[in-house]
Amino acid sequence: MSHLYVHIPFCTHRCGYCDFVATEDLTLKNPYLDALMKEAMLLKARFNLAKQPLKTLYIGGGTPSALNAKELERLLSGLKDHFGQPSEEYTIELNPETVTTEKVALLKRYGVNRVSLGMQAKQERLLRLLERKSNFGQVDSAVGLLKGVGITRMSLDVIYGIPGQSLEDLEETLVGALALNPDHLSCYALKLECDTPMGKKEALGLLEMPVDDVVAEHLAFIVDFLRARGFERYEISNFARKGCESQHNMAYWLGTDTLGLGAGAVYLVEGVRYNNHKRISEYLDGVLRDVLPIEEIEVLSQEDYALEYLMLRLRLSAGLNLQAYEQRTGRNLLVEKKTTVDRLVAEGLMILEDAHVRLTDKGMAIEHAIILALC
Amino acid sequence: MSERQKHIRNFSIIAHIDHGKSTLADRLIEKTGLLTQREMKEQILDSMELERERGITIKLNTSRLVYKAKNGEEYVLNLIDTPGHVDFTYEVSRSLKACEGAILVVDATQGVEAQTLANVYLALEQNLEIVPVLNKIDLPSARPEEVIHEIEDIVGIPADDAPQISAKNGLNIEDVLEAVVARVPAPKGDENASLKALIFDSYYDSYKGAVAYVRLFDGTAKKGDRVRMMAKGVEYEITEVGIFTPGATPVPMLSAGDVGYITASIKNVKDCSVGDTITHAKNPTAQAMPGYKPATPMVYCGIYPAEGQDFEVIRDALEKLQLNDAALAFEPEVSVALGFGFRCGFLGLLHMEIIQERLDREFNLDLISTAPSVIYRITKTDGTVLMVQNPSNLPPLQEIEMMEEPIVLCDIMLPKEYVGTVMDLCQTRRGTMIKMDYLDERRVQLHYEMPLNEVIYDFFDALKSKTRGYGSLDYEFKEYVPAELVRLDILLNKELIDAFSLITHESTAYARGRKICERLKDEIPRQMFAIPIQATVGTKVIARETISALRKDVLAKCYGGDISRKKKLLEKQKEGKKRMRQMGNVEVPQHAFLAVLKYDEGK
Repeated sequence: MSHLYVHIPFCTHRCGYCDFVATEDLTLKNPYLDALMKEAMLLKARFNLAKQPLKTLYIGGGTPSALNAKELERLLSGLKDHFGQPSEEYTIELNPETVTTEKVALLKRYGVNRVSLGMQAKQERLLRLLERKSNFGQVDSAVGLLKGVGITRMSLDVIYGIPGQSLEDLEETLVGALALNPDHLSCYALKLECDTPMGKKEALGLLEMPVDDVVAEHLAFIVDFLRARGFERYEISNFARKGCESQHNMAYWLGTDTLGLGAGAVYLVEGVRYNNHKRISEYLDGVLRDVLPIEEIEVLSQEDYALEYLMLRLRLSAGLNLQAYEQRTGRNLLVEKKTTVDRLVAEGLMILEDAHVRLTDKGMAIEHAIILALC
Repeated sequence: MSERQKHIRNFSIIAHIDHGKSTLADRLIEKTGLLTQREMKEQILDSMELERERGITIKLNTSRLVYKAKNGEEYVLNLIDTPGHVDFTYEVSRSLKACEGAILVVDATQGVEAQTLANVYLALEQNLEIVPVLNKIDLPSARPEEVIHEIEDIVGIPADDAPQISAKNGLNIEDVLEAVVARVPAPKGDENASLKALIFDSYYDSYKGAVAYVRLFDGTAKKGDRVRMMAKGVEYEITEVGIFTPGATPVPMLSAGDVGYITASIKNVKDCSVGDTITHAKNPTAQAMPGYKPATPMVYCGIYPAEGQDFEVIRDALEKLQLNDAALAFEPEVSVALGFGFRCGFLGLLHMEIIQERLDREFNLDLISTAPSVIYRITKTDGTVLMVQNPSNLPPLQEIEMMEEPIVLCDIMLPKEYVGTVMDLCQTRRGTMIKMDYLDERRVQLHYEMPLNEVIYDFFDALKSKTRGYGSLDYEFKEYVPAELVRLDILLNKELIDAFSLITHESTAYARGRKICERLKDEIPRQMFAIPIQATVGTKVIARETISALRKDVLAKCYGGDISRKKKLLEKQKEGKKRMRQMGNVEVPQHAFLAVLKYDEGK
């Protein structure tokens, strides 16, 4: 078991579009950390893990940096005790306004070698629209602090498709981001779920989302811009300099077994997917009773495997190996879906080469429709 | 005539729609004490839920009432309820054949309207005694004096001593009963002569077999009698005779003058044909009653199973409906786009809608109906004449010598302030005005000749909306007239979708074609590739739209917790795709189909 995800659901402020497992109730931090450690023990017992070394460890949220220094140390030392030092990649997500010198030093001390910072956009007005509390200046400072302690691997999150965001705005954001010298960028289209503050505004007509074609243009712009500056698009939303891809996330896309800790964590072990309770109270209750806080278990069938294989591999630029696919699923895509494949290739949405199929940029923009047509 | 016969009255109630005939029927049943008020369900004679919902009577129902008149004598009043919509004129005339008189109900606030007249003419044709009755006298807008004059002037029968009632409030109902007793003649006929019973309707009961609604003109009928259906030439033994009170109630015997039913374990409903005469096998009557004109379908549409449904199931349902609705015609047909289905014939649009609703509601069928069409008469260059209702069966243009379309005579009654807009409406529907009559200071009657295919495209709704509900329409077939007709085809992704084809007049082809292309563009979701939509006449493209290709359909974030969700969505959508029709390699959802094939609104 080489990959572990740890969820820290606390935030000093929830952003307008957030529908993650996150809360602004910071009183639960310590009980939560207690529970995490307990869950770690239960997990190790359940899956019979000896103290095997992890390859990747990813601390996400919420805002992991909503923990104060003491809490952060508690977390990091606990994880070290249970799981040791991950050999390849140790990532933590941070929000720039909660990054302090003290915390950064802790990160370094405990071997965190990669950071993902929520930048989202450069422009104040867009950040306000998104109801984000940080600004670009803070991102800049945070980056400075991290460099200062020698944490060099850095990813920035950017959001496009924001109401009122022009291509100029987008360019400005990307230029600003690249000036900070990240080795990785994750770019996501803004998606509003109905029970988020921004989602509610949209329902009331107070907010109008850009049309699909505009969002498609944003994405195309981003891809071209980054590619021209040495970033390879290795997954639909993820761009990296050579060798700087997120190893942890690759595990998801390759269908590799993973483990997870924390409220809302989802992990996959030997063909079974485990979904932890999303509500913190239920998560805590579970662990309190000395049981793994699992809300739902999904046993993957052959069909599940086949569909997941197809939909995940096509997200990657490396694409899908047709022989491997046929071995796993018994489906010969070129025969079963000949007309569709031919048309997709002819329209420049997909490339068929060396027994691999992969989506072009144009194809990645309509990835869902393509998978639906092929599955 | 026997004493018994002298105390029988057979009558119907005729009226324009909504003038209150069903309510009056309820009150008559109540008044004669057959059922208590509590036992009466509102408008009990409208037995089907659908009818009750739409507030109209579709199926015939009869009821035998017993009334003690003011003169102290008891009378048997056989009441036959009739439908009032323009589509069902023929059902009205059938029931009238069984009667000697008809109560003409006229709404005292509305006065004489289009169907009032149409029905009166039918009754007069049968030489029935017409008893006018003014209803809704309780309403403040009632104008009885004026309406009495209208009846006398327009209908041409005296009405000054017509009972003035409120069926809703039960006011003066007795006056109606008295008028029936006084003015409707007793049925003639010799109960000792050989049996002569007219079948004026039938229905199929799963236990009893076909049940014939009969009016005995001569003779008697009882259980055990061996009888013959004269036109069909088949013989049966009577298993039961009875009357309607209003439910079927067996009696020992029916005699001349009576209205009731006969069952004879008739399994083949076609043997119980409306218009036929029942007589005794051993001692048949000399001459059968003159039969009826068979109902002629005017409007057709294709009915197909929705994706995944079995076409046989539709056939079963249509056959069952036909048992009680001889006017419904259907035969199998095939569509390249929709597969196996049926071409169904109806008396009119209302009839069509009702059948569609019954198929949906009573049989739970998921159906696709094509746009309604009329029957065109096509003369080919080689001299053969074809009657074409399915646009796909139109022969190629070069083989056609002449095309003719059915023209109907429309009687439209409306308040005079709307004459201008309605004349415009008729004009845009290719109508020709024959004449205009001033009925009184308020109302006008327009007589127009119009192509039926224009009338069936929601003309009635447009008329109602332009006259704020006051306009009324009655129409009947006149003749076939040569017309410049074309077949409008729709191509999706360059492939002709036969289910969308329409036969339309040359002058309307462009507008229709454009409208359909626009509708399809709105209704069909964007797909991975751009989709051209074209409307063509022959090889000429007369309208086009393009559905641009999808440019964004992507899940941006796909990490641990997102995977199951995305997968479930894909699975659900995959299922949904199965319910979509593939036409020309385009996924067409059901609602797109329906939106296009329903007739235009807002013309």
